[in-house]
Amino acid sequence: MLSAELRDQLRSLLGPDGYLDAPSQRLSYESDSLSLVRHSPDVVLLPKDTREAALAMQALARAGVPIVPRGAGTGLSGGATPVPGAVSLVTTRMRRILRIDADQRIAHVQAGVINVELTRAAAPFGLFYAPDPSSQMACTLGGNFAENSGGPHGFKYGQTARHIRGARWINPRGEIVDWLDPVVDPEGLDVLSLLVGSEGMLGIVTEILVDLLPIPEASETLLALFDSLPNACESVTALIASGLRPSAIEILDQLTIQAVEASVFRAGYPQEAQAVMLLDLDGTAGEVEELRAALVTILREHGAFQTQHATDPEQRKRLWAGRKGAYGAMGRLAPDLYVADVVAPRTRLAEIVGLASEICAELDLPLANVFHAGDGNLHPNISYDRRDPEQVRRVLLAGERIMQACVERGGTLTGEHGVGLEKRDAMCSLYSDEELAVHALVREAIDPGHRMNPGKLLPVRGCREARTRSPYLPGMPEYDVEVRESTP
Amino acid sequence: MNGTIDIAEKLQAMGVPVRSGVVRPTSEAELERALTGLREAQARVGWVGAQSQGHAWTDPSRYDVSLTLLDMPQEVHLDAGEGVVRATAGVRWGELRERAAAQGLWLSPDLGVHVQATVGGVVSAGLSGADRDHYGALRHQVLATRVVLSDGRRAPFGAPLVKNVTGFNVPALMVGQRGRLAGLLDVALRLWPAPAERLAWSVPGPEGSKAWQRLRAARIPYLSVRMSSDPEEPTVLLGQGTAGAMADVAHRVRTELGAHPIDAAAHDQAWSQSWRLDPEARSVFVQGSPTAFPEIWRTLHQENLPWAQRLHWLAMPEIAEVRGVWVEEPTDAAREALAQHLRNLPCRWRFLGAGEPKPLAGGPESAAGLRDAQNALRHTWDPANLWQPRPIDPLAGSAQAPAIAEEVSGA
Repeated sequence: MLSAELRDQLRSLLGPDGYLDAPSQRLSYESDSLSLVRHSPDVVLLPKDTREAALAMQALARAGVPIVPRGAGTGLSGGATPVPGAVSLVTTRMRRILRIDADQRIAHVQAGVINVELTRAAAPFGLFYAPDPSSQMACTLGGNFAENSGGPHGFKYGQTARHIRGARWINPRGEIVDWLDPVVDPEGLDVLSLLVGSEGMLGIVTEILVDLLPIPEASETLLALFDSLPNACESVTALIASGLRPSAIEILDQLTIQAVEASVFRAGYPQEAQAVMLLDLDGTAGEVEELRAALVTILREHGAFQTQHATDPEQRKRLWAGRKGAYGAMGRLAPDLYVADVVAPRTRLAEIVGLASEICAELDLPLANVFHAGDGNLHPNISYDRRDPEQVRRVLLAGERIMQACVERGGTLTGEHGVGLEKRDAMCSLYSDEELAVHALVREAIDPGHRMNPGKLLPVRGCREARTRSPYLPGMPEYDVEVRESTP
Repeated sequence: MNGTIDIAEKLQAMGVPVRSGVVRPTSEAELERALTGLREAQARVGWVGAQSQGHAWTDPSRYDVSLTLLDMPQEVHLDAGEGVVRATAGVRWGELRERAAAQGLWLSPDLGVHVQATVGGVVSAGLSGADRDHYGALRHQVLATRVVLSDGRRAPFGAPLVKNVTGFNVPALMVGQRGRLAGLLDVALRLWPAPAERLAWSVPGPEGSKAWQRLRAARIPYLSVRMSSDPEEPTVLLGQGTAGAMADVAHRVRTELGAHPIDAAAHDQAWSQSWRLDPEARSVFVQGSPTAFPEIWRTLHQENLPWAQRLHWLAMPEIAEVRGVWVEEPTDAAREALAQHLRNLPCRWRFLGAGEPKPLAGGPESAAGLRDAQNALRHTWDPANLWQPRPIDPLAGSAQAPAIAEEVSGA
């Protein structure tokens, strides 16, 4: 519990817009988009800039209070789920684009800027910000930094880490550390790269310098229809092997197509297709033309029964609306959606997608697939009703089995959602206790008190115990949080 | 601290091969014994690869013993379908690139003539090549690694997959750590489709920086620029990509920049030779924002800084790099004069060469917080500070340490 004195101090520091403690105000912060797990934070803090955030963190450090960083709450791994006794520190009031330097092709932004707003702001300069998570209309750049988020165009342009040039970081003691020189290589140990994707466990980033890229001279979207999902997967494996590099390769299966076409996100995907593949091509005009011809040849050789391409921006937007709106469209199937996130070797896509189907069929669960096929990043989506505990149990079991199937075949736990709370104990499927103790040295160095986002990413108890619990994530959590006594 | 000879004898008695003061385990079991012996002796250890970088990072006088994994089993697993190659630390970079090329794939960085460099050495040193504009810096190529700590613990990080956010990004942290945190046992690296075409053009005009400005203004993709201070050498544009892309680029560089095609392979070979440094050479390496490139150019060309024999320039869309080679050992005054000029520019620099590195003073305020984090990592991973200790080390210090050491500077 926070003392009355600390509450007064924080309220005074952040003002009424930056300090929320009424139960109704805290309700929205009980979970991120992994809504299975909820806990109310003691207090919600919304600093408006780096200085306020640092002062708040200094006060919390002196009192030894755990901090759960949060952006827009669109994360899917429970990374922003509060733990008992913690405050949520939310970046959504820090949403100013501080500078766009078109000459240097960089942007300096506050952490709460919405992803898509940056690309909109950069467009008049002929530039764009490449990482585009499916939640880009809502997710923040600070959240993207913390999770090393990807998105469809990560296939060509890489994930968030590839585009970070600097940051203003507040360490767990509340001290501000600047990397706001847009230098390209780090000084000594690359702490900045370590912070990207650290899931808020090493501090909070309040400002970010990111790369902007020139908008390609030519771009178009290619839609390929398949009579089977395995054929679509096999064609991805073939086109990767051929060395072709479109900017995005996405696959939607038939259940997703049906949901999309019945929704406001209708994209005109033919419903007789068992799978559609959406590819973006960009580059110079000659490059795009050459790429399209090569892609169409390979796709047809691997079972695409129809291809069409769109160059008109409105047509392209419509085709992509179905992909971007797929999760929303699945709301038609059931009240809740479990979005899994695993990575398969790209040579085994068809096999692992098939296994996911078998697992869900066995557990009598509907499975819809929408995924970043080019990166091997699968998102098996299971629609369910969380009011039914038995259904919840089966959903979690399916998620765990899909994860295990992936790991056993050379894949890994997460491609872009992060480990968070959801997959914390599943780390034991990849690493031993001894190995995880070495991983933990990163946190020991930067946050020896374990106050930053405790209970996430690293198993708290031994792997032997974690492995006995199945599914890993219980319906309501026991957090296993250990916050150490430490001198701030 | 024990003498090198005592430590060598002790390790040899434990069945660990030691030759010329270099510990050379041939298996992980021998490595484990070696690390045990070194810990017991509290020996200062310098990790070395092929020592192809040619300056003082691995100066044996700073360590009680050097440790190399060159004699460990050399294994390579290339997964062309996934686009990943995994190799043990002692495998030569050139060999990996050749294996990748045989499968139509490209391993970045292209280190030119440094084909003997080892995988562990390249990653530990954080080297980048002239192809970083196409593929990104090395920290974006390292997908996974297995490391060993000074206390003998081992752990894998990352995965040999092109996309993965499972756990902390320790593979990136290992890039450029120079053995201070851990030794690298093996590394998984990303492979890219080999470019269908690699073309080069020479650009007329006496001053390279003007060509660079025109190139940036034109926003022609897929190009990097190479130039030299030698007025006889042309400014060269290099592009690589698909045939379609290069046809478009060729048209634009011809019509918009007046460039003429030249033989790319011949230029590459000549450039690699001229960029290559004699291990004894004294040089300065400057890395900065591409927009600062003309200013850096002017600064290094000032008549009152007649310190360099030759300058080489490499400019890409996200980075500009300059290497200047001295005729002879520069005086402290000459270094300081150059540093004074560079401090006013958005760049970093380091002086390289034989002998004791010379520290520079000054630096950004933020360096203090950065050093705190670096020191914390260093002290947690290697509490006894036995690995790669250096007399002038921005990571070893505290408030009393030099603000900026020879490897780091800034404005």
